[in-house]
Amino acid sequence: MFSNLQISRTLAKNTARMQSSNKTISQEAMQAEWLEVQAAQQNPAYFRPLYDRYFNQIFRFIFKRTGDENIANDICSQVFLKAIQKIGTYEYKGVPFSAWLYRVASNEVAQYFRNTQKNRVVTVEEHTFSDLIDEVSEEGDFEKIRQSMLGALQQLKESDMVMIEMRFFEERPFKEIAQILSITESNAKVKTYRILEKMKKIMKKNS
Amino acid sequence: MKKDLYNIKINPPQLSKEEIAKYQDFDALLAKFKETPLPKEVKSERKPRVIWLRYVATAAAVFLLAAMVNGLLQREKGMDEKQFFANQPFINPPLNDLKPTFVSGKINANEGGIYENNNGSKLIIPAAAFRNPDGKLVEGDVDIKYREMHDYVDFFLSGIPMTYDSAGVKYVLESAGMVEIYAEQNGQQLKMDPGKEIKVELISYINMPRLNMSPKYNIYKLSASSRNWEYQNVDNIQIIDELDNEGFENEELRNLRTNYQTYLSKTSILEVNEIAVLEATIEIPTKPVRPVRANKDHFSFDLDISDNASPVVKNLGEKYQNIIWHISPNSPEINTNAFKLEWESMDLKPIDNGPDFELTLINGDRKEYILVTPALSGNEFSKAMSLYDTSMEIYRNKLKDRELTLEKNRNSIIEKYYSLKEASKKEFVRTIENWRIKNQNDPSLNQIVRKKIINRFVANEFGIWNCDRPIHPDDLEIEGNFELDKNAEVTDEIAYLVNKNRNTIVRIYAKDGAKINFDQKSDNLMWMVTKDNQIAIFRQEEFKKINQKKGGNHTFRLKVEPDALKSEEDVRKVLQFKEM
Repeated sequence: MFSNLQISRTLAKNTARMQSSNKTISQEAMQAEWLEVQAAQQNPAYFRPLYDRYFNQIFRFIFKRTGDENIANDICSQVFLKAIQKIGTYEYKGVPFSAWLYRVASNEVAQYFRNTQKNRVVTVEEHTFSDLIDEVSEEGDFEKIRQSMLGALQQLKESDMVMIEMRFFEERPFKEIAQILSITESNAKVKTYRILEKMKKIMKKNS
Repeated sequence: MKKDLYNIKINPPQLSKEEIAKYQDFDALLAKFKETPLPKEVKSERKPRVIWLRYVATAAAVFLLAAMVNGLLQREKGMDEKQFFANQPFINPPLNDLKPTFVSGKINANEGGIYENNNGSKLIIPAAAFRNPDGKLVEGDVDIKYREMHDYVDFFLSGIPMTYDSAGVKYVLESAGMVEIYAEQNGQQLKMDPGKEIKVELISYINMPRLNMSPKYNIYKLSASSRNWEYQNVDNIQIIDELDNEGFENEELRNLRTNYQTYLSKTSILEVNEIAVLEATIEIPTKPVRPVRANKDHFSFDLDISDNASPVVKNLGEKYQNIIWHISPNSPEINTNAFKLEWESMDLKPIDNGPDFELTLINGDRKEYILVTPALSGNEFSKAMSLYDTSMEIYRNKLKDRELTLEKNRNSIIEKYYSLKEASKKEFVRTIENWRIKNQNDPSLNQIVRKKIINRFVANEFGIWNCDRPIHPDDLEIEGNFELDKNAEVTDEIAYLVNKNRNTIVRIYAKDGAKINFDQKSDNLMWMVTKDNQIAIFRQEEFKKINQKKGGNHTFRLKVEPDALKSEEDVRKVLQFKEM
């Protein structure tokens, strides 16, 4: 069960981020974008505004998961090629077009690591890492906690890591995470809470 | 020490907007799109392009040459099995018209309920368990969509992969049954409310050696995102008719079974008795009697209540001044002229806890018995009703307390006897296991029997849930080549290999040199699907003829069955499915 404290901490952070972030867009903007998508469905040349709008963030998303500029470029090309090929099947469901692109990108990254059998890269900024430490650990020797946290992250299954990565390392609002993963916002919150609980247990066990 | 799953990079250098922008080229993308309209073709060409771009970027000619050589080698070698299946749909039904069908039933979302399948399998669904795609709690009727898959024919037709990848090691799944569950409302697919669980009781069958009393299976959920099965829990299996005659031919075992059965039935009798004693010892509160309003249409009369009347009657007389008495509808018939007579004495006593009293009119040796009911009118009736309402409230509370006490004590009795039965079962199973070890050379013990079971588990999400256990592929691994008679052509290059004894099915990328694992002692079957929706098959008797050791090579000549596949029955017939 959620404790009230946990909810308020998480929600407070979320609210703060929502205010400072530009990652969610209004219904009107989504509707306008849907018209651009419909145009691209008629003629692939009209895909250009969508490509120009999202290239940077999709490239960055892939780069954070591969850690290699050339591989990121190759996968990113593949993502947009797939997007333009499959744009005809896209249906507007009240979520931003970017959520669909992120899903395609996520699949392509996963495919790349399946094929190469390399360990998937997880990019962490020190300050976001500290946020996660705040969330799951009590007071104590920071370095020990840090090492324990890294150990716990190594034990997460891929779907759990995706959630932690988006929520903490990329500081995405729950709403956006829910849109990318095709789940409800409350489900995203519950899942995140459960993963944090799991990490606490792993860290406790390892300490 | 566990192997790291991720390459975690802390504070790595980030790319600037300008650095990323240099890769941005929509015209090149559009040109590429026009060249390669089909996604599959694009996918297969991706790898050489990764290499090409990387090496152009570094402008190292020597590496470019190496890449070209590498590319040529790749093409020469072709795709491996992993790459092949990575490019296939994850769930890939080979005969689209013959996929195992869903059945459906309605459940009220507010109340929850039990969905029961024709074969007795059950889904126990809690109240308020569904949310619509917007996250809103769903109310009203919901359609539960449900299908079960039990054997290699079901698994084949469903196209659901039955292998499990654990840290790069491929296992085969030996299944004890699989279900797929969804819910819909007005054609819209629903999600489960986080934290809610559906209890599943899946009736199925497993193949197992005789006298194996405790088969061990797990619960896995299929994840389309990771293209793998994800472990959830241990499968709680109950074998139905575990004590039937099969396997208990030996006298020593029969005696053990008799003792065990006797203990179980004695324990059950003790349990029933103890619950009966409990119910008898917790006092049942007396239900208050509802006052009767005087009715002028009923025959009624007055009675003088004497000092030596029973306490209940006296109490009634003291409380109410104007009681009149009706003849109860339950009374034996009496001539109303009797009330015109003067009787020497009378006796009035209450009957049980009902509204009626027994009135005895006495005159010498003559006695008349009738049942009468006290009736009130006006304020006295209102006063009696008010008292009645208060007494009923007290009565209901006492009844509730009794039920709670009863339930608590009853549960502890049930738990006590359940523990005793479980301990006894554990001991019985242990003894049988020891007997099996002692008699392991007895060939009858290796005989595979098919047992009906109930798999019990909880599902916290919709999707595909499998009761199974990962096992290593069969020991004998050879390289296979494939030939189809009648110049038949296949829809894709997938061969299906079944070990009937273990209820396993493996998909193989059927190119020359493919690795084929099988157990020559088992009942094996391999087939492919032709473009004409026929099955080309390599049967058990052919497997027996393979004379190869590990690492050997064999050409599998698959014979095309002429029968057209129009129904699941046709498939079962061609694939020689029979219940063991």
